[in-house]
Amino acid sequence: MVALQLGGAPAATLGEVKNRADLVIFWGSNPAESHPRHFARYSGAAKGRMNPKGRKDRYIVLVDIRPTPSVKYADEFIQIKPGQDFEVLTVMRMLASGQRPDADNIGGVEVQTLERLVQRCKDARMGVLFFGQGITETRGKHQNSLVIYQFGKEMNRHSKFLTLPMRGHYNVVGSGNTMCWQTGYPFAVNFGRGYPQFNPGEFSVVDLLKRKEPDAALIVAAEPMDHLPYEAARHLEDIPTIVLDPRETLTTKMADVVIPVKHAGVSVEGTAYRMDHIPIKMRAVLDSPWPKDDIPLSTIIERIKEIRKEEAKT
Amino acid sequence: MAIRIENGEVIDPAHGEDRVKRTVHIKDGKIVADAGLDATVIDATGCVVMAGGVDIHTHVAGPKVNFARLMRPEDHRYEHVSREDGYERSGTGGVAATTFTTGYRYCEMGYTTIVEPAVPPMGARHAHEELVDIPQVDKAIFTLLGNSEIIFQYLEKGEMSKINEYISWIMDATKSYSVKIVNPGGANMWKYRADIHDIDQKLRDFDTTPRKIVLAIADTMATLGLPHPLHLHCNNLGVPDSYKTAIATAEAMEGRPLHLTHLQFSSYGSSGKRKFSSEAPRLAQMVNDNPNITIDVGQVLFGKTTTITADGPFEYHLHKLTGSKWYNGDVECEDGCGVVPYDYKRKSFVNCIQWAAGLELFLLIDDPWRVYLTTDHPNGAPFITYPHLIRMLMDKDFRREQVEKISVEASSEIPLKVLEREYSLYEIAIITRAGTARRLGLEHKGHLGVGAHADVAVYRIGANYEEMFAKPAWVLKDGVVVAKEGKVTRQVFGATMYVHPARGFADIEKDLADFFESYYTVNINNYPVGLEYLPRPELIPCQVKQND
Amino acid sequence: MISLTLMEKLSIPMEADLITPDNLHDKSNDEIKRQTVYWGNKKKTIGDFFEVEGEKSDQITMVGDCAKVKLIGHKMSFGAVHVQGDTGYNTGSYMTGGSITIEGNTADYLGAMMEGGFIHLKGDAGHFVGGAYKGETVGMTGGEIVVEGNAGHETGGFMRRGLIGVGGNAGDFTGLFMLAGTIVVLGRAGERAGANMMRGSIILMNQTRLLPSFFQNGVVSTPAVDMILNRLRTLGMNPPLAGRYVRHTGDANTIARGEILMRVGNRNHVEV
Repeated sequence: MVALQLGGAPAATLGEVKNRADLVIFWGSNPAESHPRHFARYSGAAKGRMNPKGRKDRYIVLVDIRPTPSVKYADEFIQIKPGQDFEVLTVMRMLASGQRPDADNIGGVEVQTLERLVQRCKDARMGVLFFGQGITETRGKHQNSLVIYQFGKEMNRHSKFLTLPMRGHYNVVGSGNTMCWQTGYPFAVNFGRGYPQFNPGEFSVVDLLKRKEPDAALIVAAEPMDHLPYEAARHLEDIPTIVLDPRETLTTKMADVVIPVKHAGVSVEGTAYRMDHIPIKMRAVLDSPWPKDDIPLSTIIERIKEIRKEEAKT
Repeated sequence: MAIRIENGEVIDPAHGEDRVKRTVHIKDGKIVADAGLDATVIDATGCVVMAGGVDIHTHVAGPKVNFARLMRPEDHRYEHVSREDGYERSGTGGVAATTFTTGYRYCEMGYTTIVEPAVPPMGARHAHEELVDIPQVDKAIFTLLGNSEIIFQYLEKGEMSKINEYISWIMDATKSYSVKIVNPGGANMWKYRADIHDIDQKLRDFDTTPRKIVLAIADTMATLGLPHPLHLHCNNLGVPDSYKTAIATAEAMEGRPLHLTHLQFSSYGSSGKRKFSSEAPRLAQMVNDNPNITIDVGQVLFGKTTTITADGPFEYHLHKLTGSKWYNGDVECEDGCGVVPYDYKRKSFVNCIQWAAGLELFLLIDDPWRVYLTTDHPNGAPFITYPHLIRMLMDKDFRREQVEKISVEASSEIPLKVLEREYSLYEIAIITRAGTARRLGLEHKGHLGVGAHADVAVYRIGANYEEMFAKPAWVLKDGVVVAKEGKVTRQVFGATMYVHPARGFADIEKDLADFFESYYTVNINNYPVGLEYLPRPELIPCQVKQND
Repeated sequence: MISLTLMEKLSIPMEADLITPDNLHDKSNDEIKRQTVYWGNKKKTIGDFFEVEGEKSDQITMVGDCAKVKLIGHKMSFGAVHVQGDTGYNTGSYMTGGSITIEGNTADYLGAMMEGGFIHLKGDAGHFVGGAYKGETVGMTGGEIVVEGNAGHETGGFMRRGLIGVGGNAGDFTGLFMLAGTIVVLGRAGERAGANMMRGSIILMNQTRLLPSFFQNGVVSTPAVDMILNRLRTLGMNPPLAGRYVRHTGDANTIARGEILMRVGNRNHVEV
């Protein structure tokens, strides 16, 4: 996200990959385990307009720090040293513009190998680089995504080239989109002054909790006790917490108040955004006795407004 | 609830009223003949009374607008709408403002209806979700079909009836109001990093041409009786000699109704020392000669903005030119999109020519009913600059001052400097509401006749026209006062207008199922946007006679 | 002089962008107390948190642990702020003149988007010293920042003009996207210094591994370097003078007019 804010990105919906991509690179991503349907539906075996034979029409490259179960789906595996993605991609950018580094081996990869890969990207009808948490969560973080976007943008001088993050967590894209149209920012928004302010690090959840700044938490459809680093999550144990969730989780077990709600996409219809920002309508398939999320939330807001009014009077 | 607006000078071009002192009666959200004696009185002494503004082309919602917001946090950092200032919902401004802020700002300028003109069918659900969060105005979307591979397939086989059926289906499936075409065939070619340069150039994958695409869709729209005619962003936009493509496209229409959008961006020639010139006079002549054609200008104003368009190749071109951020978002089977920040500078020769070309279009097109005020928000400038633009049109001395500020080299080359025309308030009312409402086929908007929606803007005649149009004394939406002295006083939500054209031209069910199965990555059953996404739907009937 | 003494240590952060000489220099003691600060989601006043002594001065002293007080000296253009303790986020952001002295540590974005003036930090800084806020493509455009302790990642990111001196170590990506200006690190710099830099100078007193997009380009000992180091000496730092430097130019993925100078002789080689 932050990388996108720094320079933009060449992207497309996944159907473009299915219909036209003849070169697919997975970088720091293990789709066989993390996104099992991705390969079949969009990026690997999927048949499309220019890829009538599916898998046979694509050349697939996997770049990672160790062999993963995805290797067997790839035509080529390039193993790099941990934490060296930024260096390797920097060299790929140089190679793309006809420059060579002084060294012959960068991050455990022969420069010749990278040269071949860059040439493949240039020659592709449409190349796609999918990148995962193996690169976004390691040293350099958003700078690693940024260098990927930069490489992708520069590749567009030669061929059609897309760079797409492999996003996880159900509907994280939807929450980002909604935040964005309502506040201008996808996450890390502070409303403390009566209007949205944005500053990752200053206002992002992990950092706020690590610094023990919040004195209460309302948690909707999230699992911080499981997903956040413990040094951040443990502050939640010390403050009042309200959790809206249809299931029992580590977070609901810890919470002071749990409001069970309907499960979006299971017991209530709604909209979820796919990783390529396509909104998908979700239907209700099961019944549930609980209310939709918005009912307790609007009740809370109304009550806060009343309290504020009473406070203003006194 | 009843209101009488008294002592104001009514400007209602749809009924030929030019500064007529009369009372406007409002009851139950409509203009009525007599609101009764117990009606609340608004004393509009010293004011002009107009229908609420109707913006025919403004990018305010949908996937690519949201990318523009996402990509530019620096655009939001310096402007905000705060709950402390009495707004119901906070937000941030900048050129790609948030949804609530967008609604408030339009309202605070006296606008009550806006159209988001470029939504790819797959993005319709997203666009409608955003429209729900835009308060104060009625709204509608146009669906992008100029790069639809389904239409291309039917075109190859000459199956017009299936195109009719498909467009009818897609209008309903996207809860759309009309069709927009952006760079016909160009976004499709961009999927191979190519573009279209001529309306008779064949596409790479499909045996068709921009000319065939545009004609087929225009004919379908006539058949379906859509209230607004084809809304077209021409090929070759933004480059020298784009005017030739615009003229060729207009001629290809052979008298069919056509709306050429942000024509300013298609009005460049290649003469002069810098091989970049304004050919706005030629295009104005073309419009004057062809009563089937209307245009909106897409005025460029100096300052920083973000360009957002479905014209993917154009945005890449701009990115290479400026080296700034670039987002590209091709949409499978349907269209493309690009976002690039841009800074229009008075020192830039090209930018000055663009700025002048827009004003020349305004001043050289004779019939105000066929030229509409837009900045192609935010591509030429953000919509909050409209009052400044209005002043430039109405006040030739002010305009001359502005001309003196631009690049000397450009100012010596522009036809603008000899133009003396000044718009009257009556003409401004046409290009900002009466004309746009009529061209959109909105019978109940853009005028103050009995039966019209009581969307009213009351402007206090002041020191200059910019201030006058920036802060209307009162704004009413559906008969309720929603803003005073240029400040929202009440949050309301308008309707989303859509059409539901007739079906039964052909059976395409199996074709669609096969096509979705082969080329899309979404399930056709989950594709159509249902009415549950439109909390306040307003169905506008088809077969409305076109206002040619 | 105006003295603000924090009455109680804060756990919830406060946004105090009105604590600047620009805003307080013409205010009476009572008026200062009534100035707005935002504390969590509440609108409060300076007087709610600080004992205020003095009035009408462009010299402000802050006493107490202000680690949760953000935006001190925000947009200030003259006068002096002296903090006898830590400060919070965004200290001296958008500053155009005057000076800020911090005896303790500070958080991220010290002097972010700074245009002029001088910041002297005696302790450690967080990330993005003299940096750019997210999405901005130009950070610091003028002024001087001295960090006697360590600095975090992306020090001087997107810097266009000015001088940053770090006495201790700096994190990764020092001088990221630098457009011009000068950064000096007396301790050790982390990885990937100068990534995407276009112009400007990064002077490192110790060896560090550079990106492959930097190319060695001779050994220099220019008077210009000593001029910069002398300037840092006047600003209260203690850099070694009269040395020779290996010059590396880059970033090869930009116009490559930037330079990283690494002092010859210091063998504190960083193995990665």
